[in-house]
Amino acid sequence: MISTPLIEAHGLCVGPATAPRLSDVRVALQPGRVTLLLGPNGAGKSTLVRALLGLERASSGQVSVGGRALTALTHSERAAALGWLPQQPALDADLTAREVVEAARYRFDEPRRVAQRAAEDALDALGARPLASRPLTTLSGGEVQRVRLAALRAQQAAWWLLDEPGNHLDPAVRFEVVDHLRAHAQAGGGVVLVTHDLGLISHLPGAFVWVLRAGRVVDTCATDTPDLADRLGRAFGLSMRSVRVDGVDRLVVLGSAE
Amino acid sequence: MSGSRALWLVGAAVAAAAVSPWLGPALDGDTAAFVLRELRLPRVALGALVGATLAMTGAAFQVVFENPLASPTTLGTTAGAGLGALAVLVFAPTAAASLVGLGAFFGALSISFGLAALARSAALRAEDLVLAGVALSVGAGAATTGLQLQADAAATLASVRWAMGTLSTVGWEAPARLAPPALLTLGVLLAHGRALQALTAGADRAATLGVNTGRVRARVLLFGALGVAACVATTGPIAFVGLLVPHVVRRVVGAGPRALLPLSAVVGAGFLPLADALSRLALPDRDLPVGVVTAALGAPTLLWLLARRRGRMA
Repeated sequence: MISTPLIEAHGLCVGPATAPRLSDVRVALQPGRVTLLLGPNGAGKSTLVRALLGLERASSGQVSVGGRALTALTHSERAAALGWLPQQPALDADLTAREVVEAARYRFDEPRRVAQRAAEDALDALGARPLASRPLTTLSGGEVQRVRLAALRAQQAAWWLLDEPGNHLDPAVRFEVVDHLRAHAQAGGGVVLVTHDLGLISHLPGAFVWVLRAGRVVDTCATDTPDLADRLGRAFGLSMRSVRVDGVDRLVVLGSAE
Repeated sequence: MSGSRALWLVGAAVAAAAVSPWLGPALDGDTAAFVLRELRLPRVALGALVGATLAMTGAAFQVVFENPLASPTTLGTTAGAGLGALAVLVFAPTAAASLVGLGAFFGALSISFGLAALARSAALRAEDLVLAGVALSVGAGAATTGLQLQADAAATLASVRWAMGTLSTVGWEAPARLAPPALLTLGVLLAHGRALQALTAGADRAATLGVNTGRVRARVLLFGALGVAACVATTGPIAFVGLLVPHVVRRVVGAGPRALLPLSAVVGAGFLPLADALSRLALPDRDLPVGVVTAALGAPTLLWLLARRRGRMA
């Protein structure tokens, strides 16, 4: 089991008071199950993730990790608590897959050999070992995502914060990614998943849901809440229904709400 | 990274440095041993130190500024040195040459200190820093021109001559004086290899991996500037080595910063003495400043890089 701290935002505001990107956000994120951050475009999901990572300055309020203010943590304490898979990866600099994963071991003070072995193990766990020596720029979208997940794994952070990890991936790979996230949560880790992919919801029974809209938290529930379709429909401005297929509730979008 | 190509590159650099003292007018007669020991070998040593420092600093700058065009020349270090040297030539016309070097040293450092103070703030984006560096460079250039207008013809001529950059030296004093700051710079930059490797994914991503990005940027900038300032103080500005060599290494080997930094230093240490020897071949009777040769090779290469970059973005 991983010892995973609780992450909280207390009245978190980001951006100028006249045009805040987040206003008065209060969330308490718990490990053990996947947490979904949902909301329409521009709701502030990515901004919240960046603020939880300490990449956005809070104009008021604060983020705490295990009861300590995020700003009081050292860089390596932060990297031990929170790992990030950003939406738009910088695909730079001729690094091979192995080097990308090895770079995620930065917080560990260890000999190069150990870092390399950890990188190969992480690539192995994602089925990406054969890609180890390939430059990242030569890989397909799905392969790159595997490598980036391997890097997240190699960092061994308690929390994984992922911003649209399924973008540009085919459905099979998308579900595979979700399986990795669920396994991390089941092992006691924390997972925050920003996604537009409502199809994933039925794949994540019992996940926590936080719904954002216009920089505010407008709802919180779980994916097995009975009236989930209505609540999400309201947040997205959509008409949604829950339909039972093969014993599993699935969300179906009927169209925009009238 | 291609290991065999890296070996090939190191071999070529070593060969270039080794062949450099033998290029030029034939060594024979009584003076041969003296010319070799007191003129050509110190010149190769000086060129190797300067080439290694400029090239590795350029490679490190390109990573921390997230910009392939970042180098001591484009970020104002060289312009600051020129202003400092000219200030000494104008205000203390009778000063010894070593004082001109000192002026260049502090001119280069003061520009880079200003930039490093900005770089400590992790909130500042890399491209803003590059702009700030360019602005400081232009400012120092304008101040240099203004000072030249005030100066008499002799001081202006001396500053123009100084600005051409040359490895010309007699005896081992210059390389011995340059070695400590240059080696310090090389060592500190090498020690940041892991952080620079993490920084290739962008400052935000590196920060979440545990890199103190503001501190790494400021240190790389300061220690890079220290070595470059010492080089410029010794030889005058030598353009484009810091820009050119890392790109050539990347193109040939395809390496991340961890391998790029040491390889750039080795290639720079071979390239600059060779360029110097070639300038001796081109004009045997006159001492063609090596800065002219590196600039003549570097300017078209820079244009080619720019054209390639545009092509990739389109």
